Amino acid sequence: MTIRPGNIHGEHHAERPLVLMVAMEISVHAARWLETVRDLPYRFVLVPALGGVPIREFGLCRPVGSLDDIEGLPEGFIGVWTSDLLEGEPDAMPAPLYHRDRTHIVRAAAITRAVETLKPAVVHSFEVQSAGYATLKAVETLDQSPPWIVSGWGSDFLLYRKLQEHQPVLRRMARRMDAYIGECRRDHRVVRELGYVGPLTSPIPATGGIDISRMSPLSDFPPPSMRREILVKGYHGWAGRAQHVLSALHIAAPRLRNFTIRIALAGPDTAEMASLLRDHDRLNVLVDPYDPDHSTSLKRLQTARMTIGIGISDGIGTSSLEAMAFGSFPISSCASCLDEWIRPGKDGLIVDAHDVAAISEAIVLAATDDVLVDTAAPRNRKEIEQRWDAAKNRPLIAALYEDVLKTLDRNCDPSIRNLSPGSQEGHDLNSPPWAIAIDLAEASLVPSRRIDE
Amino acid sequence: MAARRIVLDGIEGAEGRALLLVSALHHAASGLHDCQLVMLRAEDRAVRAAVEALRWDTGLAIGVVDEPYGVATLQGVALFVAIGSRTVHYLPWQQIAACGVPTLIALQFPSADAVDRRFLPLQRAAHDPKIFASMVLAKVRPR
Repeated sequence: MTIRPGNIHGEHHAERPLVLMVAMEISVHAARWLETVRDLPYRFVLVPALGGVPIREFGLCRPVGSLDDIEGLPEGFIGVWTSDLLEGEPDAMPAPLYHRDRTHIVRAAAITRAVETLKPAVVHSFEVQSAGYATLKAVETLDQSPPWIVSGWGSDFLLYRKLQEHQPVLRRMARRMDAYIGECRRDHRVVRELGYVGPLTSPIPATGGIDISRMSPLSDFPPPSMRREILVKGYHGWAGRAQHVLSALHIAAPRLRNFTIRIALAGPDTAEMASLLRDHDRLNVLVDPYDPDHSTSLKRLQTARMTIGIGISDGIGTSSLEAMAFGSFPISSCASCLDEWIRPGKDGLIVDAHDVAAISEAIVLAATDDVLVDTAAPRNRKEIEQRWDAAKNRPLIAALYEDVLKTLDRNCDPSIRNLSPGSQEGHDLNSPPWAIAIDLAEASLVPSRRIDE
Repeated sequence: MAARRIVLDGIEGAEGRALLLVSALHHAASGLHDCQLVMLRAEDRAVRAAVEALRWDTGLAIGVVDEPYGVATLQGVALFVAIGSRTVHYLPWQQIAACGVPTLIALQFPSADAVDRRFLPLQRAAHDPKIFASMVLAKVRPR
């Protein structure tokens, strides 16, 4: 663990409740969420879900192993729990599709120890199959566990509930989690079907928000109709279908010869297929090497006429939001929830991931209709400024933390819990009493515009 | 009458395009419910997940079998289906021929040595799962 320099004068933080974040330490999404909430009156300790060192986007970090360490955290620092993250046998839980097994995923026992030692006011896990499953096991092990907030990303519930090995775990989780934050409104139905009875808030992207004030205005970039680049998200595997997009480009090739196609994050097989498109179709296809500097991918979006991300499952892809921010016309599959951010057919296009011909038609439309892409750009930028602004989302998240802590207080009068009319319907008797309390208090939990269903 | 058995190749990678084949099955599903579908060589976890999602989304009963191609798996098969890239050498031609199994194989970007009159008409279908699906149905349900 690298200790980064900062204010060496510790500050007494006793009045600030502790949020134990269980999240992938390599995730820019989690880091951005932390950036969004960092100034809130809470202390944050990260449990690295992959057992490593946080990327620099997490900012100033210092290892912590005791309450004294937390008291001594300098202002602006977050704590990082580092003890025994990957010690012992992997947990007997299914692995995410992108991992062979759980060898490199934090053990539930490490989370249990962090909770017992640091006594957080709330545990907040980000992403379900790595961080979430480990936290579930920890919460199930603890005699007394703090309230648990689950942030579901992208496909965590939508795709994995279809997988036999995962569905029972997701049901356990849905019944056990105290509050759920999803990226998409459509996931509300999914988590309810799995047995979740807690409050539903308006969807918040995995990143929380971005600093809109630091984003250059749209007028700094060429209008979409002048742009001659097509950006393709290159993931192809458990959810992504980049090679379907390449097939669509192959079908549309005669209409696309004056464009440069850039593929980001392509694996070797997708890169190989890109070279076949170059040779057979005379398309100018570039496979961009991975660059850990996120600003590189943002620059690509500023010159891309359209951004295509196709998969059989997704949330609101961050690349789609970034595309909207920089005037790049978004094309996504109906498995994403981009349709909750755009008016399909006007501000972007939504296609069936399994229908390559439809993907091809969408690409040609976006490549040839100047009015379409130029009209969409300012509207999409405005939507981003309204809904993806960290400054606007910060108080919403603050209200959520505050209300979860308030409502899930274990000292809450049990007789009040039992008065909940919601407790009679669809409530699992094994779920914790504060889930019932939340049902009762749902109307006052969050500002009314954030309550869904 | 026994259900017609269709064997699908599950290789995904430089040569196989099993994920595109699964997409074709999404389009063909409604016409395949009375067939017995079996995918072999689906070692890639992404392909297995795609098949599970296909089952969930369409109700199609499709099995994933961990066994090599052999007489036992190919005997009596009504159709062998695959989508590949450039070459067909990765497919079990010997066993297919030995069992006399009809085939529907589409090839993306066929290489010179793989160009065969049988594959040329299927080049668009090799990229378009909807067209490939209609070809599967035409083979399974000839008019």
